[in-house]
Amino acid sequence: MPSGARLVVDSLKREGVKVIFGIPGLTNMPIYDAFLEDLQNGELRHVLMRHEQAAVHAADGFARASGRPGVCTATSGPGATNLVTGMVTAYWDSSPVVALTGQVVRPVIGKMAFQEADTPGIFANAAKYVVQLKNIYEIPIWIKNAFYIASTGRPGPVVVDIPRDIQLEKIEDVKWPERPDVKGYRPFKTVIDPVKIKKAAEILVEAEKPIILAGTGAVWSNATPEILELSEILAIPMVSTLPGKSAIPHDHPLFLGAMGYYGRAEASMAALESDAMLVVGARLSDRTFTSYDEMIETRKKFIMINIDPTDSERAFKIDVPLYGDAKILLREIIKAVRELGRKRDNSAWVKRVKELRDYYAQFYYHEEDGKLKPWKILKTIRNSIPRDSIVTTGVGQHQMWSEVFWEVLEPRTFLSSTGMGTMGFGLPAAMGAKMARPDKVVVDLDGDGSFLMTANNLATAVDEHIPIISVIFDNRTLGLVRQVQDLFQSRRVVGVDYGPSPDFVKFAEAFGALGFNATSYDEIERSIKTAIKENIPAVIRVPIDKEELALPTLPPGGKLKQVIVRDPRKAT
Amino acid sequence: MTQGRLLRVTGYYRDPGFLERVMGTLRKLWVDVEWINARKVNEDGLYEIYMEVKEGKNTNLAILNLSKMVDVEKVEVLEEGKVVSYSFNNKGEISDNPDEEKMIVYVPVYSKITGYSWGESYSKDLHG
Repeated sequence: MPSGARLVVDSLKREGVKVIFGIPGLTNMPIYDAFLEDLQNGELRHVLMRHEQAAVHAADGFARASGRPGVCTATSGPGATNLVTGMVTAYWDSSPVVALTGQVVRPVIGKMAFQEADTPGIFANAAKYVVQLKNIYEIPIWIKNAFYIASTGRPGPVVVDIPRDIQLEKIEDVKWPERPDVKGYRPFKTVIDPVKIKKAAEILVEAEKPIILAGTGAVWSNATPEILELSEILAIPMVSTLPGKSAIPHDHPLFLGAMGYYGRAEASMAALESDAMLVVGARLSDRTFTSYDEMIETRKKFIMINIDPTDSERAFKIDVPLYGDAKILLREIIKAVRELGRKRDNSAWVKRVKELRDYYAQFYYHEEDGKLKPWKILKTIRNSIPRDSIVTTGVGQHQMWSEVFWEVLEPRTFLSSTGMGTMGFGLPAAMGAKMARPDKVVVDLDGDGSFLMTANNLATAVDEHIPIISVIFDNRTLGLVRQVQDLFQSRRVVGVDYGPSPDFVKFAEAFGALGFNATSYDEIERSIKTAIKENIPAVIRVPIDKEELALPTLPPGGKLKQVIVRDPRKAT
Repeated sequence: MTQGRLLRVTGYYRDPGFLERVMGTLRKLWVDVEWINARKVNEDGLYEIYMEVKEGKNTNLAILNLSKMVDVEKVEVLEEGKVVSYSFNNKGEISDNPDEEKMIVYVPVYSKITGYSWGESYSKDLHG
């Protein structure tokens, strides 16, 4: 007679799960007991994280790198509450994660039992869905449902909360569900409306200055080939959101980079100057369109492809909203465009876009004696790792430098917490990505502040032989906050500067990782190559000047056209 | 005519968290609820909530968000309507006696429905 815990494990295996990131405690311990043999025979791999937040980030990184839901587990109470930050991070970035939480036994739920937390209440607004199981019979169907909800429609994280006594119960007959059964849930449909498709195609064909904006949805629907094909047929320049960077190879001549708050100025300017914008899988966030009024004032036509039909009604009028899978809808648009034929010569627009790129390049690529410049560090790293390497980031200035200067060359190779902006994402997400794609080099581009928020998980990377490389842009400050204080709060810099602790090389070595202090571009390259060769976790500390700014930027609440590309302190 | 928006939310109740999440969807967008009636319709957990929410700049978005909340089947806006209130005493009789304890029941009266459900919308004219 299988136990509830055994049903949990078998349900996971039926969903194709191979890796679980987690930490055991009293209330999820039966699940651990149940999968012991699965670990021993290699059917499952458990990665023992050092904090539950990192377990979710790792599952999230796994999902983003593989395209399949990542799985994590935590015990009740503090274990479950520690998941919250990771779950909202996955929620905001539409990443499918399934979290299994243990819960206290049913008779004491709600009675402030030891290590009890109101998991359904806590996650009601911090995940796409949360369900607390009431009996053993619900296990197979609800684990199936959890994967279904997490990975369909707009993907997102789901929590399955399982009281310990249910895990310990036994049943005679197991009914394995063939399909999910969630009342009151439907994945969004892909609606192919020939009239709208034709209208979208006409707008693109007739536009003088069309542009494509690629977002996260383009990544999840694997729509990169279609975006590139459409771009090339009509010579349409492309820009992306920050997470959408992962959709477009940056060496494509028509790609300008990520637009938005800290995006490339030429991408934002081209987006403003365009007369028609095709938005593919982006939700018009306030990081990309910092002012909706500014976009409306351009009077451009908007075509929007989104899996979530309600997204087109959030911000401003969309001329042609198309709902559904981006890949399918783009194929339809391409067909319609081919039928209409190319009517305009976009060469003047393409030339203008190139002018923008050349103009803004003068502000980006400066050298400074005795200082390592972020753009050149990133270029050095890019040239030191294979084209298909996966890069994660923490959150802070280094993330913004990566937004502007990191060259993504293959889809699904740039993973960052973009919606929630969660510091500490980089290292555990890199570990998850490496577990999903062990054949790839995985580099965490991190900041000293961000890295230390989850750096205890370096111990896991070492213990579990997950050879990731963390490159730390070490400026001993919370640089992005400092920058805002410095530039926009009358230089009243407060509460951001760190002291000399820790020594990152000794820190890495204490964990059993390789530690490098790379003070030149050559040393960065050598360190990375050594880390790849040694194939063990590594930390490469790169000193950055505290005064270095993340540019381009905007004043707080600013519009894209107010972009700041020069250091304003030097101007005065 | 009513000042606010009359809604009927149809969904599936698993536990009281269903109501909590419906309210949470409104709370997150600062949409206030004037009154609410909710009941379980059948043993499959089908649940029906009638409510009046205040009109505001986020009301439409809140309705759309509700219409794609897991467990919610559909959200219907009851249009061209008004609210009739009935006052019952503790014997279940309609009463306007100020000395009696009373329960006020709000009943939406409407002639048109616009429904939203997981990205699809429809309109029904009840007198059409």
